[in-house]
Amino acid sequence: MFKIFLVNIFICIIFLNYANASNLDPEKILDEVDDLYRSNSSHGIITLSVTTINWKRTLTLEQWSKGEDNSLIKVLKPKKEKGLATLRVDKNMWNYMPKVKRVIKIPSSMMSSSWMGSHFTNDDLVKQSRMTEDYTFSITFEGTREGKDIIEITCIPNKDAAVVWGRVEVIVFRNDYIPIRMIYYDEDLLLSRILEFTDIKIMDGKMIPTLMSMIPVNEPDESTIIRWEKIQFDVSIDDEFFSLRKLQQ
Amino acid sequence: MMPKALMIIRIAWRSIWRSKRRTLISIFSIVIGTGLPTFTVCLGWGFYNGLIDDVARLMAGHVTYEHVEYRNSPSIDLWVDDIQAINSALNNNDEVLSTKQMVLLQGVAHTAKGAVGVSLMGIEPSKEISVSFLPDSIVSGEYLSQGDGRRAIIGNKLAERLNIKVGKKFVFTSNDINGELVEDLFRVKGIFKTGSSAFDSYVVQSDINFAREVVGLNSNATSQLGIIVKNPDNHDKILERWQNELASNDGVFLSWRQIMPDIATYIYMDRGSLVIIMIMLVILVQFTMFSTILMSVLERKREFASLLAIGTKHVELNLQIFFETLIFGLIACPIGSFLGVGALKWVEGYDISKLIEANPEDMSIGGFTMDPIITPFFSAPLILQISIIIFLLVLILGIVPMFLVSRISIVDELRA
Amino acid sequence: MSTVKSNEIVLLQNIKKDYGQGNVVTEALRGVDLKLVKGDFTVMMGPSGSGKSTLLNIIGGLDRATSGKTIINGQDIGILSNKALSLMRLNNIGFVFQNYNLIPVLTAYENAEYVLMLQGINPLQRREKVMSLLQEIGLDGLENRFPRELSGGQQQRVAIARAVASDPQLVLADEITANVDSETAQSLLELMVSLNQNNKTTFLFSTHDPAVIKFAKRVIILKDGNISNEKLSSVEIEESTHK
Repeated sequence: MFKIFLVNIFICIIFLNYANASNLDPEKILDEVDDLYRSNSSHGIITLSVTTINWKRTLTLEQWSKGEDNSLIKVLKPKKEKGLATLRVDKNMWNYMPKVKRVIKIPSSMMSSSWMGSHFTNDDLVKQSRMTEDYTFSITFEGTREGKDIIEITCIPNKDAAVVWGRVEVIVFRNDYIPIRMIYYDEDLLLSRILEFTDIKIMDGKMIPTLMSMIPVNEPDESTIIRWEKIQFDVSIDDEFFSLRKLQQ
Repeated sequence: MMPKALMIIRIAWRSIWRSKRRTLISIFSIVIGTGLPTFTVCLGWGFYNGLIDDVARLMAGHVTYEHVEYRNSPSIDLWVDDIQAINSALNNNDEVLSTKQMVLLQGVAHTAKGAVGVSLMGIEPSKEISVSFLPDSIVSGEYLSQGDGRRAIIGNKLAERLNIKVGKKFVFTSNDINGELVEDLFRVKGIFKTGSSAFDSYVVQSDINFAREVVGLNSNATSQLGIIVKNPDNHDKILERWQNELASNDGVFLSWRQIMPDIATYIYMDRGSLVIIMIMLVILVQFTMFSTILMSVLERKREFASLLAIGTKHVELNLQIFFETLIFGLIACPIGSFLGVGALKWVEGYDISKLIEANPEDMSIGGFTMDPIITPFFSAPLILQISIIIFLLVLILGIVPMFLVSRISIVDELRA
Repeated sequence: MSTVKSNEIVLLQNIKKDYGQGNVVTEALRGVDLKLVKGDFTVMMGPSGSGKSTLLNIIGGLDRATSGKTIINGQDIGILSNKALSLMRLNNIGFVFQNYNLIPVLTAYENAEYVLMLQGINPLQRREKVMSLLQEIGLDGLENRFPRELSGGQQQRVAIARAVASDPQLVLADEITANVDSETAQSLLELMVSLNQNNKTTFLFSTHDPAVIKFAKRVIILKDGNISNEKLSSVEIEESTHK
């Protein structure tokens, strides 16, 4: 979740920064997004709402990130799960279970398991952003659709790239490049899932969509919704912050 | 002593044939008692051996060479080195039919549909084609060939769960030898169906060289070296010798029983129940035998009494009864074995699934399907063993009549 | 131990035999004293149930007396083990039964040879002995027949041959003429008389048949489990045999 989340954020940020650059080479833009992101850090509060056929639950999370490789997420609410934390450094992930006071390194076999019961897997959180490596981008639409002035960037996975999708479409506002939605297609180009970006607000001086909804197409009654309650950019965090010790605090 | 024994044998022999009907019933019951277990056990053993051989050829051989710690934690960072030297030594060994190198990776296969935990077997396609039945189990697409790279074959159940077909892609996530997460794209070259749902929903095979590349192993290292031996029955002995002669410090030769303990246990249990059924059957058949022997002795009580009266010792009478049962056994047990083998020859090659119209998955042991073609296990020692066991049982049965004879009252019998 | 004269084959002292247990005890023998010497040809008579067979069985070591001493050839057989008894029977006693009791699966020759074989006599001696014996009893030419291929009289001859083949001290013959016609019985008795005379074999008969008596050197009457009188009138014999 976190990675996609971040990727999307970075796409937003790039678009914010380059909105007026009139450089519409999407590949180049995304290359620079990566570079931009690596020097960045963030700290925020997120609400995660997961709805499945069987149950619905809401978590409040606090997250820190630095560069592409370090992130830490802690559960604040509900009380029952407070202190539950996930640390990612590079490609490794650890969970801290406060109830049993144990740190568990998530093995590769667990990577396909759902992260905190959401529609994201542990793997989704770990996957590195390799958009420019894995995809070829092209602008496939520029203009007005459904009353919005948009740009549609189509991402086609490169041959042999470790990507399950057949195609990903990113739709952004033309004027400020704020994302509207990302549409994922499988290899047969059948619609697989949709990530919607709404509730655009200014936070820490940047205009960002504060609500993201992930809807798997084959289970339309299910969803995972992420709401940014608060975010600060370019906060200073030590590398030591992303340590197993911190995970347990 | 000799003429006496000869005479006792002569009396025994003639006594047997004095009552032909009873003798034929006795011999018939022993023939059945020998033939039936021979038939069933050889048939059963044939199935088990076929199963063991199939699974050994499909998986890691009758004997497997692997890292000493690999059993405890089958992860990719426990591999065996210098495999080429051991491999060529084994391939020059007369007892070895073939060897197969394998790199085994645990991980997750993803498609847009979802993610499923899988085991990726990196194999040598040319070896598998000559050794395993998997290349013949391809239901769609083709089996692997050398240099196939990202092309992989997967089970039909896994294909269903990942919603992919031949030519489509999936992403495989695993750890490399340094514990780092690695991801690679694979394309489905073929889909196989073994009938074992565990195997069909869990296994992915690709060329070993690409699997090595994925996790960063050099070409001299494998997770397992599977060894197919010519005679699986004595693989335990060979294994010990190889352990002393060939194994490196952290490498160990193991039996398929240790590699696949679940199958070994299943076979052991299934075999146990077969043996129990056999024992019950043999007891039933022996009972017929026993009653005819007993009757023949009871009918001759007077005869025995007069023999005792003129100075025959009890031990000599017992010897006579012993020789009678001995002759029964000597005649009937070989006939029984012979008929059992004959019946096996007769059913050999028959497709049992036609008979019971069973789903092959219903005939699985430890998740592996048994070959429905009847292939009896013709082992002279096994057949001989059964024959000898029945023979000894027959002799043991002769003890009760002996006991009865020792209790004969000469006076009462002669008065009658 | 009492000194035994070497020609005393059988010495019975106060032999008693009870059958049954508890309250229902039948006294078959009530204190029989009897002495047989070498070369005797004794006929024992008496009504059914008088104890003839019981006495023969005790003398032959097939049965044991309830009390009293049974001395055969100087040996008290009451104290012998079953195994020793069977050895005693093999080496000292010949039996001839009413029902012949030949071994059905052996030929006439083999039946006669059987005891010799048990005694471990060598084949040559056995053959010589059996062939001459068969000739003597008039069965030459029938030696390879099985009992079922022989008449009753012929079977009984084989049985006699078997009984005397090993030159026993004593031949016990229990009602041996009961199952054959009188002519055959006559010839069987003549045969035994000749064996008695030629080989000095001691015979003890039990019989109902008064025809036997004329061959007897000595007659014993058994009555109610005891020997009533050793000297008998022919009337008494008639009585005892037709009861």
